[in-house]
Amino acid sequence: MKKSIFQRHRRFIPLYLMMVPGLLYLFINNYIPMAGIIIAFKQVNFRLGILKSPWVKFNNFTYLFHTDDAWTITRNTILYNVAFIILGTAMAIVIAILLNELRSKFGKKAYQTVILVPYLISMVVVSYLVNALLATETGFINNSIIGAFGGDPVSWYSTPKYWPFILMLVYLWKNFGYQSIIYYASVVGLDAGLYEAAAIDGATRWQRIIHVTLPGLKPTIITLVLMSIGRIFYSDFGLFYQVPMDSGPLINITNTIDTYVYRGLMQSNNIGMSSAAGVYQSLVGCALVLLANFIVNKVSKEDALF
Amino acid sequence: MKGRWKKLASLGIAAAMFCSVLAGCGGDGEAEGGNAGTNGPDGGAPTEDQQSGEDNTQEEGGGDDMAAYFKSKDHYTLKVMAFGDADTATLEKISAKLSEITEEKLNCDVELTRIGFASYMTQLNLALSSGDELDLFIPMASPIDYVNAGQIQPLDELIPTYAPGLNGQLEEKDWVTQTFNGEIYGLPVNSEKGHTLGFGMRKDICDELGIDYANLGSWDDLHDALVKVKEAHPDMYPIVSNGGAMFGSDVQYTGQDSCGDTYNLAVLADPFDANGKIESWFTTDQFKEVCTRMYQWAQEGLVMPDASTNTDVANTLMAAGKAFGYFQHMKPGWETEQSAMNGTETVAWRYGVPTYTGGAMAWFVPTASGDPERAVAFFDLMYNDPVVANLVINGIEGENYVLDGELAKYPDGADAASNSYSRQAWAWPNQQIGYFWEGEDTTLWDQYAAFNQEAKTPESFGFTFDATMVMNEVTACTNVYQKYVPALLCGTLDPETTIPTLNEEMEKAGINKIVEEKQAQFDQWKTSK
Amino acid sequence: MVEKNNRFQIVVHFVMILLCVFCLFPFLLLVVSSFADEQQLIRDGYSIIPKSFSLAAYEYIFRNAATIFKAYGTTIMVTVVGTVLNIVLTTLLAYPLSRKDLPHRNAWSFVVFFTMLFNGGLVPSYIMWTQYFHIKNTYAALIVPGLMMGAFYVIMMRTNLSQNIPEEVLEAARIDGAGEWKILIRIVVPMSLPIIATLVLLVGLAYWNDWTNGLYYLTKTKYYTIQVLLNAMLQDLQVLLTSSFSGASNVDITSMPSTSIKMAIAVVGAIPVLCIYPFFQKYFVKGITVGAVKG
Repeated sequence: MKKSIFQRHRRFIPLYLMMVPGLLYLFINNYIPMAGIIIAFKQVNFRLGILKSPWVKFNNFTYLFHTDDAWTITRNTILYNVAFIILGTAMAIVIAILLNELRSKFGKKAYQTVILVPYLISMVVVSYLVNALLATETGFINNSIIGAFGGDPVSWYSTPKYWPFILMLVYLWKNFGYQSIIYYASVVGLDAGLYEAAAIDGATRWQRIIHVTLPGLKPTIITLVLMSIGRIFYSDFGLFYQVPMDSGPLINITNTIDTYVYRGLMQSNNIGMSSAAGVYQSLVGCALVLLANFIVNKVSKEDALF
Repeated sequence: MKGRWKKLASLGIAAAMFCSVLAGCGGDGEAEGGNAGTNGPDGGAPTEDQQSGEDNTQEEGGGDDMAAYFKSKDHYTLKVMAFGDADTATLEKISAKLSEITEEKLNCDVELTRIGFASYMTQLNLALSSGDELDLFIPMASPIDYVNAGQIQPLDELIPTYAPGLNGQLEEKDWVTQTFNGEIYGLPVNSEKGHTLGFGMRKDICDELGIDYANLGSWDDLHDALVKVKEAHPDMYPIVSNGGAMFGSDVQYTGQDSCGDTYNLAVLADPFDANGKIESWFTTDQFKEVCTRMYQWAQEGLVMPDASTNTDVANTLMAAGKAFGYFQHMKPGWETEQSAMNGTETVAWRYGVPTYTGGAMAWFVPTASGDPERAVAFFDLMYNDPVVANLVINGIEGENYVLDGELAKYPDGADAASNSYSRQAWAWPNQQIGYFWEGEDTTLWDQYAAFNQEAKTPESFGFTFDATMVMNEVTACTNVYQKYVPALLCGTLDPETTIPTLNEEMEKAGINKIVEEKQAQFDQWKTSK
Repeated sequence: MVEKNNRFQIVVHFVMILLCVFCLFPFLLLVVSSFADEQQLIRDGYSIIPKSFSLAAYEYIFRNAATIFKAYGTTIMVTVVGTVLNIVLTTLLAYPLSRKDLPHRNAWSFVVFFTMLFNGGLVPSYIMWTQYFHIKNTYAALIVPGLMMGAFYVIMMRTNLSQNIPEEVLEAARIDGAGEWKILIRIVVPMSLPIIATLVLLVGLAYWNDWTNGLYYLTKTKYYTIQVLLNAMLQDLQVLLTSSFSGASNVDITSMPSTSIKMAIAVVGAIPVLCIYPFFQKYFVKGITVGAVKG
């Protein structure tokens, strides 16, 4: 019995060996520190050490569900993320296909470089740029655009209704280039033979995109979307805190789980409560990914993540 | 499927292994803590005797005994951390110079680390939470949280023995603000010990428009002055916020006493009323009055637009000629200091009651410190030895500063921004024994002394609020606070409609529970006093 | 047909140019403001047409030119070493996972993916890396924690490999007597150059842009990368203004970066990548096309 297992696995030994360094790294960098999750269930006292600190059951979690805000922050976090996933993916795929259809080599190069520019700018600076555009008196939009047409200046930072769009625009601006390049690599990597066959069959460009490119991208799309679903309860702190300048009147529309936790704990630095938030975010993400992966598994088995 | 569970089981093993990591951290701290307790008394005994006679010559003698005591201990490297930027090379030089002195007096080396403000909080919290080697630090947050998390240690027993100089100079009152749960944790720095409220403004414009800044008697007077400014200089904002905050940068004060915490939710409306009750700040008349005034002024165009989302500090706006004035906490010498920052002569109208708050800053010894005795002794050295004080405050003579007679200044061609050891004199134990700098008022320390004497002590002096029991409510209320209060204080929101909404949401978020809890703690503290 | 195709090309160019304007406009605003006179900027606000010209912001940043160039050097070293290590580890792990015949393939994938879902927080990682691996204040601190390999890259590569490398090719190689290592190096790697090139780009950018490792694991400025350095300059003021720190009003903030300096900081951080990127892209495109032809 033992021997047969060995024989069955023997030809995979080189493969296992290849996996060792990577798995070892994940073990050290990710799995061992994961035991820190217990902090979420402790009232940490460093004099006693983390392990000996008293257990407090779910006390560290209750603040997340304490008020009506719990609903607002959950709604905001999920809706923004869903919008980001859908819009971001759609835009990235379109750009990737357009880049691929382009014949000019110079154009391909130039466009690829330029759309990556926003990704290189940190969110803090982005927040200053947005402020440069939106500031009531000195901002570019009120000053140069609305002013030029004789309109009344808009007080952007105290008008919540614009902000879902502003945040989406900023998100897309910053990230679409990066995502496009990921998809572009997949498009280019597609089997050239399929395209030739399609051309011989006399397929139009549109047919070729629908029947060859998109199906070819399916695995990449599914992988990337599943991975974003795992992070659906997280939000980019810079985008939701710094870009709206922590403006009070906007908080109902810009408050996410991360910013709520930050605002609530910034003065007390409570390690138990902040890790409780992380555990909550991870658990929901994990559950959703398992569900999504289960569905993918049912529909097309080979594309499932695991 | 089976395979998956096997792999999942391996996760369990990972978690188990990790326990050793966490235990390592906790255990260290505990061991060191115990160490301190046992070593201190027996070795310290002779110096404690010396200490009973509290005069200077005795302290000198005490120092020799202390040197002898530390000689008998193992050599040690003391790790000291403070904020402010500094180059590695400069730090190494300063550490070496400090070590020459401490080698002789404390039989130890000193390793000084300084970290810029941007990373200081993160790095300090990591160091304190992981049991890193660290012996002495200055915090950038309220110490009560460090106390509650067991990250710093009480120093009651160590201070008389190992910080005789400090102990001799401080009064009872100075220790009150450093005491938490009945034990002394902090080593206070020598600074101004209170503040008053005020409005700072450009002198040239005051003169031009005939504003009698020294004798503004009331809010109406200030209003008239601001209207004049607005008319004469339509391009200038009469009032600007300081990076989004209207009344002070950390906690916004309008005269209330947030007694014992930085949350600023449950307060004493009148700090000096012996029978005052804790109440929600947002239901007080004072709060409404301030917001209404600011709203009215904002409507008249006296406050900068977007004041609550402004990212520029008031000094920058002043320097750019865009601002006339701003509110801030006042201390002696405020005008000189701010004039230099604003690049234009700045004067102030002080309108609050000078309030005694105790020392603003203090240094602490982490639980994980390998040698709290030497940490305390080194603080004492920084507090009393001018050579050490000048080293830690100003850096190396000839490189970071040069002496011009009695006064220090930057070497030719250098300035604050290019200095390889940034100067934050107020944060070090005793800036008053260091050099004065060019442009500084040499009578400043006398002014400090007079101010400290004159400042009125509030009823809650010495009380600290432990929010552990109401953290849920505090986090919820803090979020509501951010939603309305900064904008209300900047006059952006209409208090008539907003304050009722604010109070409704505050109540839902549980502010009453915070008020009750704080009142209970406050009563208990009062009776035990 | 040809005419129609040309029209299509023109439409694509038009769309792409529009997008580029969308991307570049704020960046242009950034560059212009970085050269603006600070006081003028505060008085008149931002504009795309410079109203004043001043190099003060760059003088501020480069007054310690030696430090800046050392930091650039550190960044380049860290980016190169980190990217190479990352790609090697990622490829070694992703290739077996892409093999449909690997026993318990899905379970292994889950083990990798799971690290994206849960983390133990910063403090345990910090304890791990500083007390057991002693990386505090070393160059390793900039390379090893967090970035040296990540589930995201592994899974992207796995998906790509299992899609683009036909099993018949591997089978044929095996019949020729090639071992797994030989197959990996001689067949899989050359065939997966497009995804490797993409990952080099993504990982390289991640290393270039990273400042968090420096924030957590470095206290000595001599190890700073350019992003750690710039980020410290950028956030000093921000932190002071938002901290509940009673000493904050004592800090002399006039020596801290003002608006135009913040803009200049962003330019200084991004420009080198924009300069290097077109050169890298030659290899990037080459890698992609080589892979495509072979595929």
